[in-house]
Amino acid sequence: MRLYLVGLIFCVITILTFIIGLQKDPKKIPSNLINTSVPDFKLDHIGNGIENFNRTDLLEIDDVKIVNVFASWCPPCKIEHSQISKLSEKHFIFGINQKDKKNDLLNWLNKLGNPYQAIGSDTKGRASINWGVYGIPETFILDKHSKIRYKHVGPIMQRDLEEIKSIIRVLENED
Amino acid sequence: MIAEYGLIFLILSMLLSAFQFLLPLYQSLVYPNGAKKITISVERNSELIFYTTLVSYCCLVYCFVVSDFSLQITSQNSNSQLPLLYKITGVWGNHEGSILLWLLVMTFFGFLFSKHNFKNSFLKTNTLIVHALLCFLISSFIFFTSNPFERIFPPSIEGKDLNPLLQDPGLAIHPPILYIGYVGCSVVYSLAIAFLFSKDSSKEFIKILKPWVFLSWSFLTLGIGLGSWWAYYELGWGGFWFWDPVENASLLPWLTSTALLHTIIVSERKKKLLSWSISLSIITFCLSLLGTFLVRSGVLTSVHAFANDPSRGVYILCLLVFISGAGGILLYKNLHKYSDQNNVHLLSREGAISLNNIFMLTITGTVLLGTIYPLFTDAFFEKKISVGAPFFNATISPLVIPMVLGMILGPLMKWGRDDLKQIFFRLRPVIFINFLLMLLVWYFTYRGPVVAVIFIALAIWLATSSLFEIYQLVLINLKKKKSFNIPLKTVSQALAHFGIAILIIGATGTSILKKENIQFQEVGEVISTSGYEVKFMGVSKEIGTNYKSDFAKFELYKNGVLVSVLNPEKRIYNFGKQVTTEAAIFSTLLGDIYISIGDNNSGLWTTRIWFNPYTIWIWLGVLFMFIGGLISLKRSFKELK
Repeated sequence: MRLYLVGLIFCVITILTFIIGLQKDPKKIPSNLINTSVPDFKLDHIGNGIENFNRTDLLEIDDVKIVNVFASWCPPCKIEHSQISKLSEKHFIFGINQKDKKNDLLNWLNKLGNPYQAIGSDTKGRASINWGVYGIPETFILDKHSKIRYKHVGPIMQRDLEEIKSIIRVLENED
Repeated sequence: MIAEYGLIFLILSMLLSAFQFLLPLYQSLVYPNGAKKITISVERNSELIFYTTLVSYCCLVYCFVVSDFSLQITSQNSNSQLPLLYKITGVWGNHEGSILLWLLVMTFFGFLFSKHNFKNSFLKTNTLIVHALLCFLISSFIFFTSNPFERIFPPSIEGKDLNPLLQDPGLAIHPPILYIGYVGCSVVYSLAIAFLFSKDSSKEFIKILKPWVFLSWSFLTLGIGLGSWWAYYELGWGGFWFWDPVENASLLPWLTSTALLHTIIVSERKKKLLSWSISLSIITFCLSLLGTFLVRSGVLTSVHAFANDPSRGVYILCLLVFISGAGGILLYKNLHKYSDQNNVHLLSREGAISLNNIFMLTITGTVLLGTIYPLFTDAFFEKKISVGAPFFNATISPLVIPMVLGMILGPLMKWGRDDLKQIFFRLRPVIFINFLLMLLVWYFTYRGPVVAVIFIALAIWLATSSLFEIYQLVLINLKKKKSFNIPLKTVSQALAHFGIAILIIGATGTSILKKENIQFQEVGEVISTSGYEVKFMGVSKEIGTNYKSDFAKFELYKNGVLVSVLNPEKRIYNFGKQVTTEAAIFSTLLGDIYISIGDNNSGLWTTRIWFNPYTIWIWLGVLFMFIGGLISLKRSFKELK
């Protein structure tokens, strides 16, 4: 008897789930990280100077920051590179380099230029998981208190630049 | 005009199936004593339902073949440039057509069952009545929410083309085979319901049920295997199983029907676990409907989801609730009649089978939970989560280990009650051989991940014990020196278990031991992986019948000797401009070299090169299981005569 009751409750919950689920659009996927603080991560730094690039490096800067997840093997990342470079003229941009080979990346940067303040090497993609990245490139905009405020999925094209700049402007005027 | 004929025959089929279950219902209400009965031949009627559906289906195929773009369905899913094969397979490359195919297979099963000769006419009639009800539910679903014969005005001049991912021979056969498996469960369901209404002895019921369970299980196995094979070479993701909700949905009825075909054997030999057999018969079909609901209602996104329409979702949900609710209530009212009084001893064949069934159902529950949970959190907590491979790998692999142990020991135990000492005594040669094999496995893989070593060792153990069973039988026959006579029962079981063993090896190799290289590759550049050198020879532009392609050429060397030339492609289809990646695969028994290409980046191409150890063993394993199932099917049909 008790077994049947458990089964019945399970079925009712499942059916309710389906009924509610039917009224939703499964294609909308919001980021869970909006308005949360930067996730914890610690990555080997690529390039000269510091040894690693981690969460505290971001917390230390009390200005608006951009974190861009990219790789040299990813063609859309190359497409957005000139936009990233433009943004880097006025803002802090950090890179998380996903599943890349060091030499490939250095060649890539030599050829295209390096807009990044620091680049963390995420060879296994672990940090990307913490950031909730499911396809690269993805770009995060952090406010002065290092809260994630905006996430852009896919390459930043010329037409996206205005919107991104206006978001940064709003964040810069906050306390 | 042909399309209208199709619709008329669809309506006819719907009315005939309504007639078949409404008439007996009416009679039993009006004349409860059974007097004044008008008898119709349900056998004949089941044949008619099949023929009318067949005609309707042929009309739809005709519309696709002659490219009649005045139909909604053809204008969306076909194209005059398509090769003939894909015009025909395009019929089930969309929601409406594939549900019509489902109905066709279902009515065909009703037809087959009406031809199935056995004495118990009461059970047969009632089964066909329940089955007609199921057919009616599906045909009315088609008629009211997904009419494939809908016209559009003005008619299109050209069709939008079939989804390029579906333009593939693997997909041509995967859905019909899978449907035979899914829909075969509907007969099993109908039989179980009819049996619950009757007061018959269980012995005959199990005998009649058996071939249908083997039939649907074999085709479910083959269908899932084909789907996984298609995903492996067509999707270009380098894996064979992605824990996609729809894959899970097809796995659920497979798991319960696997459990079912084991309990049936116990029910037949020992008259135990009958309540299990009946419940599993009903649950299996409900789970296949659940799968259909998940795919077709639009509650989740998946490779398999076609364009969605919420009204369809509501209809299938009602169908699901009705069919599983009816089954559940009948079970609740009647099941106590069939519960066992005599206990099952753990150290016996039936004990091992019961234990394994518990594991199997635990896996079913886990997969079900993992599939529905994201929907649940979204519905109740507004939280999007995704449950994927990490969850399933972590929860299911520990369950597989005791199950394989059960599969190794179970077949070598006696029915009724066995003794641990005797089991050990019988198994001495196998244990010895296995000990040697373990040393070999350890020697070859001692640097590999521990999980992989465990799984491969277990699988080898299972394979040897299955072979040992056949060997023992041969030995007994040789001693008798009479005519050679090996019981097919054992052969089919050993084959299926052997299939599972090599499937585990293949799956372990492909998922845990694989090596992946992603890079920019220059023309002429060589990448070495697992003893192979892969030389990139460049990309040329090719033009196919309805697509343009970047046609890459790779030369594959082993120890400096050219072994193969591989041509992965990236295709852009003329209509819809969809891009597909066609992976190129070089298969050997020890592993596959799997190459797919990405985008061009000023002369450099993104290339992905995998080495997937033992992948081919997965499909071989499926084939062994399928053959094992077919042997059992043949045997159980013979037994009936």
